[in-house]
Amino acid sequence: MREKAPDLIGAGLLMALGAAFAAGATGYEILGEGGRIAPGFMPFVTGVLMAVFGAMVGVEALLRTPREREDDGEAAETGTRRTVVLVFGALFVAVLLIPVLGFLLSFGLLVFGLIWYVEREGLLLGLGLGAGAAVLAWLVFGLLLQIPLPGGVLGLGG
Amino acid sequence: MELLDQILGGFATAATPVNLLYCFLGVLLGTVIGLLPGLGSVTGVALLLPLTLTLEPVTALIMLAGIYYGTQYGATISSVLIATPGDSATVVTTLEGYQLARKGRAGPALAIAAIASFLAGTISIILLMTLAPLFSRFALSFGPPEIVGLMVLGLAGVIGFTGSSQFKGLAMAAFGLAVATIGIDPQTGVSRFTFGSVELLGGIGFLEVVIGLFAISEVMAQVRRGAPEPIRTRFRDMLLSREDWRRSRMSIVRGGFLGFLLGVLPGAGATLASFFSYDVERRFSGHGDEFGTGAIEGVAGPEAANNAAVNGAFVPTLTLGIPGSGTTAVLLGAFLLFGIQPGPLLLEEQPDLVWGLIASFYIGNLILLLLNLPLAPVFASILRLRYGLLYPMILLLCFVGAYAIENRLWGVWLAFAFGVIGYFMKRYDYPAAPVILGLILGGLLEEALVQTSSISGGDFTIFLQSPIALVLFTLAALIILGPYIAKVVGLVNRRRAAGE
Repeated sequence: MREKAPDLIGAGLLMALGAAFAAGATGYEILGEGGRIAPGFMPFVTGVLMAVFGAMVGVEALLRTPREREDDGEAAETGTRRTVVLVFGALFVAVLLIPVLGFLLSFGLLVFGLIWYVEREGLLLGLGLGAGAAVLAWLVFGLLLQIPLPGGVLGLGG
Repeated sequence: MELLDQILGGFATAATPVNLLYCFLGVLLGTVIGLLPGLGSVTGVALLLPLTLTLEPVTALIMLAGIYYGTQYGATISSVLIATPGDSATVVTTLEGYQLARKGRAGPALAIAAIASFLAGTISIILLMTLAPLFSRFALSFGPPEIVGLMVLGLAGVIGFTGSSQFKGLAMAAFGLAVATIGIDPQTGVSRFTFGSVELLGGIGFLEVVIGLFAISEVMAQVRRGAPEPIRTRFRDMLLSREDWRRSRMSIVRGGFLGFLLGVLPGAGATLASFFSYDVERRFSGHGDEFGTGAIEGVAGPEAANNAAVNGAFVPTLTLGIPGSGTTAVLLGAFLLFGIQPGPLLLEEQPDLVWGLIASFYIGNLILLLLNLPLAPVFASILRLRYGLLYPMILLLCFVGAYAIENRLWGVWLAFAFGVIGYFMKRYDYPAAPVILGLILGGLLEEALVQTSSISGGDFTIFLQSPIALVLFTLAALIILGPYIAKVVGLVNRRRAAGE
């Protein structure tokens, strides 16, 4: 049963999301005057389809005999789940900090943090690459393409 | 000789110094992105698209075509040297290419891939130039019901060939179509699922979603997996022996024609074409026994096929507005972004653009050959960088790109959210391409549906009155139900055999 759990959870999520779209769509009129398609039609139909196909994913998982499941190479993974969580967490913080620090500083620090702390590649290398990446991003986007990146309270970037 | 004039006009458009420069830049940057482990053509086009936003539409599209070709070859380099395909279309290349590399023949494998791509590109661009106008003329008679049929066929094609579970693919396409309805409905001006948010009024941008679902999630999956050690290659190893060439040339021709034909069909054309070609070569090349241990035909054929399929896929994309794969879907999105609506009228209304683009495909192919034959080993050295140093940079690139699309932080958040969603989708085997296709086709499909229903006054039997639409729906149903029908027929046959 345990290896079926991810597919059953996925099926549940799809059914819930599909139902949410379909339910929301009823607020926009599904078929209008003379049976013509109204704004609610697409979200209703696609929501129902998503829920139905989601349910089928669940049914498929329940009917599957355990040996059919392929080995997903869990043992061969050298990186860890911890790294993934750390990187996603760091990304979240970096995006959150953009309005304060500005894009370049925030993401320069992110590159530095990932290389120095998460990947343990050394302080100097992290600092150098962090600064280099920020400068390069500014050169290409800020200077060359004239896309002003958010500067934050320090006004760095535009 | 009108066609010839148009083709020559196309080359004149594509060969202006500015367009050549951007095509070159596109091929160069595309190759670099494509060879980064896990990043393929969909990602490459999406990540580099922001660079083209300030350009003239023709120049931008020419650069994007260059990026597309570049990423494909870049993905080939990483398939051969680290057995990590950046693209589903180069998965097959890892089979023989990596084996050749392990035998010290990485150079010839990379060289034949470049040459095969170029020659197949030549074959298929000639086919594209002859077929595109015919397709256009045929499709001119299409009304809204037929267009609905086409879109459904396009969606079915992509789902039919993806992943382990069709229901996951179907659910993902429905997800994409549903997400496409968020924002102001262009038909009626009603705002849907916006919950009072100004950001949601404009809808969910497909590029941010692509960056999240393809780029960020790929990088994170790679972080979890850890990147493998690359095999070295040197310039003087890039030379082909007479024997290599003799063995490969017919494989290239076979792969070129096969690839183009499969590419024209909606669905994961290039991937299917490469697998097909591999199988054909194993049976017919006369060296079937060497397959699995490094047979050069097993690189030449599939590489020719996937390149030709890319050009084939442009036939429905340009003339019908129906993309045949994830990448052509992103390119179709790019067209729409530049205010160009691909479809039967495009060739008539903007012949310069279409022929310029097609000519630039050819020029892109040529640049790719000239650039990559001598430089493949240089590009390959990027693979020797530790992944721990590479991925923070790739993530930075993803997020700058997501910001630059519309110059707003909202894009960055969208990319982040879809990065997380994409990571879990990848982990639990939900294909991402149907989401993108659904997202891009959603708006077009709804428009065609609304038009159909207003022509018919709400009567859905109008679909039954159009033979073309019926054929298209039947094809779509066959693609989706085909595997099940085959299974049932097989079961019945076995029962019968057992009963006798």
